Amino acid sequence: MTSIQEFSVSRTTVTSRICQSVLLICVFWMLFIASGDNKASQGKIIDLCVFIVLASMWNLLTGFSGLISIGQQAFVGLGAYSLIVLANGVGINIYLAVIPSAIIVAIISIPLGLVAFRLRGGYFAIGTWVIAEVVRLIVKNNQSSVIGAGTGTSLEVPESLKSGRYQVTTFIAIAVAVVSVVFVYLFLRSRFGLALQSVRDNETGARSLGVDSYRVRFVVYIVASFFTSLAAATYYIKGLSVQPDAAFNIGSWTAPIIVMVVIGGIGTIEGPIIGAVLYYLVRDFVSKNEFFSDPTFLILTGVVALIFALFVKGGIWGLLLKKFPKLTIFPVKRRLHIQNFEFDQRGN
Amino acid sequence: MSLLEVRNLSAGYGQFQALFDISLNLNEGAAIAVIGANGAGKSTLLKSIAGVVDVIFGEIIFDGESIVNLQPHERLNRGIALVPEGRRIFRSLTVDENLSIGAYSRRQGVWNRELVYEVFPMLAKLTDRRADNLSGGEQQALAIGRALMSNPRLLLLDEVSLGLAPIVVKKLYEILPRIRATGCSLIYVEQDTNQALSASEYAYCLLEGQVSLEGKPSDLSREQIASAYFGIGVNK
Amino acid sequence: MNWFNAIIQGVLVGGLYAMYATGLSVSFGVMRLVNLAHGDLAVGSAFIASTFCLATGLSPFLAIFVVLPLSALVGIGLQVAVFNRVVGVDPSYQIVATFGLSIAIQNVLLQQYAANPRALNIGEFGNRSLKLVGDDVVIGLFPLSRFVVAVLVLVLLSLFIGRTRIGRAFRATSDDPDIARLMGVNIRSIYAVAFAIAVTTVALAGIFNGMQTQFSAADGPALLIYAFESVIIGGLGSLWGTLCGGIILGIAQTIGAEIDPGWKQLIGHLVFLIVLLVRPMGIFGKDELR
Repeated sequence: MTSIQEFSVSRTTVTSRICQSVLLICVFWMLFIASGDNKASQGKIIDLCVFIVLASMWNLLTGFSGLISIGQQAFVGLGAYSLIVLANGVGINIYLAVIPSAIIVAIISIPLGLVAFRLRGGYFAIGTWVIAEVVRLIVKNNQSSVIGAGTGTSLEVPESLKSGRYQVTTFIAIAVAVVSVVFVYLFLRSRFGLALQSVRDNETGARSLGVDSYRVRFVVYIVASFFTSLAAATYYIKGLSVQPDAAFNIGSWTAPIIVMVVIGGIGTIEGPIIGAVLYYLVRDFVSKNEFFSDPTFLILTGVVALIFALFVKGGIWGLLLKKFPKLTIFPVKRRLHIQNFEFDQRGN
Repeated sequence: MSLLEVRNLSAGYGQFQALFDISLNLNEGAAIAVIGANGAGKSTLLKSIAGVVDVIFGEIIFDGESIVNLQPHERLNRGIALVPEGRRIFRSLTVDENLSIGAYSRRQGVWNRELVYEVFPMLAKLTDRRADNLSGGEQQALAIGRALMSNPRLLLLDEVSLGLAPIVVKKLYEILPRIRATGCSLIYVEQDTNQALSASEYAYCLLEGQVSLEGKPSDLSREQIASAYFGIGVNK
Repeated sequence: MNWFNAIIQGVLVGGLYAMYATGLSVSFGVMRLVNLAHGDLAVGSAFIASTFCLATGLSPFLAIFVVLPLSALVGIGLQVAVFNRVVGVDPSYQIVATFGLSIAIQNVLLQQYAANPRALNIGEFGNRSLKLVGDDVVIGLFPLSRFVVAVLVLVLLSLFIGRTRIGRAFRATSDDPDIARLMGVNIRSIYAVAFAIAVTTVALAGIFNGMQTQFSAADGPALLIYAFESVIIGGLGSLWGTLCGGIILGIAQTIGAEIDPGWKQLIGHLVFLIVLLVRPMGIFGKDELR
């Protein structure tokens, strides 16, 4: 029998600190570009940050809570239209309207969730899509001048805010992305996060231990819709024009989100970020190449999603972890150090 | 003549090993009991004979041939039928349809619908009832009947008495000799030792995946069984 | 506004929706698989039928006899190559895999046939109709026969599942696949048959749809949603419930279109959501959704 003389429990490791530093450098680099004048680069950063948020939120729903959604476009569109209503309708400053519009969407998500939560698993997925369709059709049939029915409308930018719009929007996008990712990280480290993962792994078991699975998941659903619409509002301060068929389009929102997360790695904090960056790099390369028409690119995305879901379930981050087991940017697991030995929670 | 011979069997689920070096023998027409506490590996033993658990090491010889590499339905075709723990009848099928699925393999023999209904009269008046509307005892009778429809030479009974009233268990055990009379060999797995021991000629006790005791039930004392069952008071 | 006519037309469309829904219901019932590419398979079949008709000059009705066996083969192929790997695993991978397949099929169709809508021309037969109640109610002969075929398909399928040996094995596999295997049921081939049925019925529905209205590469998702709504309104696990679900959806849509053409889909979706709120197990369903 060996006696344990010294032990300590920690989450951070040397590798995690190195990876975090690299990530921080990337954020500073993006902030540097945001303060500059290159609108093309700023536009790319906004798109990337928006999709990092959308992907992280889809991953929080599907990867960590077992709520498979293919209706995230509902919250993108709602975020866009709440912004329109608050800015064009009520007359709030476009930048200041971003957070309130996300709060409005979070409130709307409660009744939507009550309906969606009647379904489970794959049928929950199609249900979220139907809900997104209903919201799209309601918006499309709304004849008020603020909404603009099927033809859509544009965000009105006052003269005073026109200069520097790209810079400000880039800063907002970076902030939203950083806050979302940090939020997901802290959320998963919290007691709540542990409950969430126990529900995903074994619902009956978690229930018998007193975890209210319905409530935990519902909170996640609302949080995800809040951040999704936050990102969407940011996106539309850049894009300005909003049409229902585009804002509520499954192909332009949820499809790339799913592809990003599945490539990066479902159920990890790092996966969506890696997936979003990779997706953008590839799409950038492809858009300069004549061989890839739009359908060709989409066929490839579909096939890649299929292949990853069948054969590379952990995604690229999962593959990296297999090679470098200590690799981590956002350590969620606690590690136990006993003298020179180290155990993680799986007992390895 | 030996019908089933298990030699040095180790088996488990994925990374988890549940059985260690088990050897067991069953003669044609005989009935043996496998007893042991919850988690001792009894069900895993039956499942590895039926072919639904990965064998890590060892041999299973049935009727003189190795069956380790055969699929579950191929073992069924040779005459091994399992009555699974928890009964697991097909709930949305009727009693009659459950029996039909039991005969899916089309193995020939004495057993048919009529004989099952004759042996289990409680099922005979429920033929068109959906199986989830049956009582626990009726469900267990149906699970046994379903297995018999494949005309097994070896019937594996996993925890027949689990969750049933003693009077119902007694009734079911009274029927078992009729099954043996058709030439079918039996392996009972039970936590409740008395029923199983009284109905068999030879018994094995499992403890933590290993055989802790074996012998004729009449030769085994209560103390021996208790210590082999719980793993206490054994001098090594 | 003619309500009675709207209801009659709704019932006839509902038969088509039920046919879309049958395959979804069967593949979920037997292997707990939700296939998001379901609608795209229907559209794909209609395009193949259209290509066949253009190339040979034959009637679309003859194309059915070519496309259906082909779609049965496609179903078996997809099951063996793709879906066997996602049966029984975490449903999120199922959804991602079939979603990826759906995107791929849609864009292959888009690339192959461009965004232009197509139609399957059935000639004179498409224009014939029966007039009832002093010309107020017009029943197209084609929609009527399509409804009859849909009911016939459901009758055959429920006889197959209810009365045959393989049908029993279907239900046993649905209840408990592990024990079904122990009883000697080869569940892989059961899955292949189930999926072949799913693809064949949805292909027939896709061709029937194309004989009356135009279709284009992007139509699949809408068809999937109609199928899904029919299944849930009627209740899981009941083929006749699915027929009623399809009919209810069809009537809701035609009545919505009577009120305002823009409301056709919206009213259909709202009826679905109301059923979901009031009776989540569906009108004919016995069990809560699991």
